[in-house]
Amino acid sequence: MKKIKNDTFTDAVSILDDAFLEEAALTRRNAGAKKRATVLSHRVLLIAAAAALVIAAVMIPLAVMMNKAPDPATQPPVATGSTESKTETSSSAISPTDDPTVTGHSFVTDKEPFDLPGLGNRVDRLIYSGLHSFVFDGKTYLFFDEASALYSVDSGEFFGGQRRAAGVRNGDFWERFIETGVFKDGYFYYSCDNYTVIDRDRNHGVVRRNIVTGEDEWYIRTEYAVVGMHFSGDTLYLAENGHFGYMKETDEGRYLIPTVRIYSADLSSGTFALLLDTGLEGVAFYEQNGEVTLLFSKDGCRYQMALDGTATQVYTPEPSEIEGKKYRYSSYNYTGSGKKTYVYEITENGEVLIFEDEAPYPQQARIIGDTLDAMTIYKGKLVAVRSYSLLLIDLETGAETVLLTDICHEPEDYPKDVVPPSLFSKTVVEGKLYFVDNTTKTLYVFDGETLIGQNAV
Amino acid sequence: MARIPDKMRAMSDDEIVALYFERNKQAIAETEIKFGALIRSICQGVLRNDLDAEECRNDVLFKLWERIPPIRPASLAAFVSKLARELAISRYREKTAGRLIPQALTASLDEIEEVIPSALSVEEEADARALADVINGFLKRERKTSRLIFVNRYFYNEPVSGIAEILGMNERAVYRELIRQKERLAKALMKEGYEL
Repeated sequence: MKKIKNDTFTDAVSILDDAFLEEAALTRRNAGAKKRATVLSHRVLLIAAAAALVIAAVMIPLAVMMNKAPDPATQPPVATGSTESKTETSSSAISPTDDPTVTGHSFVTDKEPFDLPGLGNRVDRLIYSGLHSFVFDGKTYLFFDEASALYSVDSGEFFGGQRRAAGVRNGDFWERFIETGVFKDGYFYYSCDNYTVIDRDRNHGVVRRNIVTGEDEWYIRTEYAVVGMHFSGDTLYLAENGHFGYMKETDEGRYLIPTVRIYSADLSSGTFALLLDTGLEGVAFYEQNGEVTLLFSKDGCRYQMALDGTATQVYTPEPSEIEGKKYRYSSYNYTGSGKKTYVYEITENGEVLIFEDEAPYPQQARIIGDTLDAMTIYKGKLVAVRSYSLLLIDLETGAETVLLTDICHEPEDYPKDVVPPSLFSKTVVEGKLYFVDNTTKTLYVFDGETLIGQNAV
Repeated sequence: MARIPDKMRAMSDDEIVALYFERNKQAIAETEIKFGALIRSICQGVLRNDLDAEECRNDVLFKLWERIPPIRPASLAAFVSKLARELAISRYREKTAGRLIPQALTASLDEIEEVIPSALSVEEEADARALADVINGFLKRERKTSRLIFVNRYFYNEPVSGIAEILGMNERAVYRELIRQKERLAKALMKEGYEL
């Protein structure tokens, strides 16, 4: 005898014969039309009854007062006016929304992408890409890239943004990507890359959100996606990247080196100027003694570049250090841990190169671990992922502590021969590390001692 | 941008499918006009949440755009219905699987809970197909009203009150028919070797 599981029954019903479904769909549609017609006829009856009552209410006193000739000039048009008005209401009730076949009104909207109402206090759809944080007016905020949603850690409420970074609008499918964000003087500036699937229409730039009102506005439009932002005083520096570049050929094959454009934007006027247009890898803004420079990696060497374009090779590893290694990406991370600031880079095979940031930057490199994907450096320890485990690695000794297991599973279509990607987004604010595991849709908070997970609900 | 006119007669299924084949985005608007309510009710029936149902509706429209062409559905209503149900159930399973991760796991750091996979295995799919064949055979032998009650109840997840409204019956009659139908289905399944 075969046993039927609940799920099997559900799945079997899902693949019922098309003819049965069509038959039922037609019945449902007819029933909907009939229901609307009935509602309409009820409305008409009610209105007719109301009109009769009004007429009666006026006609009876009129009949009583037949002997008194009313002055047409002063007689208020109570009876007829009221009836006409209600009849008008009844005919306007036959609106397109009452037509069972016209249901597209929520589908078509002229609203701007940032005007969509209703976020819902859920995190499952919000946790997907990046996470940013800042403190404003004594309150700690998290910004979820996925829905450009702001979350107040103190009150637990979401405001601004929307529930989802993709949907249907104006007959087209749209999606939004947000790469980076910074907070300054009551505004959260975030990079925004909107595109529509069918029209292939793209909009790039920086949007800023008023933290008090929750309103968004385009601050700067750019030609390509903004992938890096940094504030220095009142100047916002932008790195634009992604869809153009040059091909580089190595023994292992060809790959694209993106060309990065660096802009500076004046906060008060909103004007911006091109500072640099060059082919770089792993660009990060770095500010030291009030001077903004760029850090980048190329062929295993690290460089520092001033915004006038002059570059200095600041670290040259031993040939054995870089031989046969390809940098999966260069990720710079600056975390003050009391005395030192660290910078890390990750090679394709998951080795993490740690640099201690001491003037002149950087002086020392050490390799930690293997097959790692680093998230961040937090309180002097590298927070990294390996084989679905979250590790804390001591930067001095290399000692590893397992913090979480069975997390961060790679997407099904991710190439198996590559180190699992970090699906985490992270941010450090008020001494706490917030991060999310996209696969389980869980928001974690770590204070160095205790790890708390907040499941999506 | 294409806009839906205030009043519009729904296109025929063939006309809508033709728009998909032309890669004309009006296809999405026309699908929404004709099947929007159906899609919403299916998603809402499974997910029981307005926002989830709304997102699911978006996903259904997107999947239709992806799948037509190459697929040319013989019945667009059935195709849309199946797709909506498939996506809604998949989303429901994802949601419930996510909830299976206990908070204790994240606090104690050493407990591991398996997450139920949402995709069907080959074996599960074969089981579902075999069972569907039996149910399809059963429905063919049923009277039209009974068949409509079954499909509305189990495919569209319509409550008894909703079925009564759709079919112009009273709730008690629908309920009685559902009970009798279950008995008949049980017999049909046992005859095919299923244990109940």
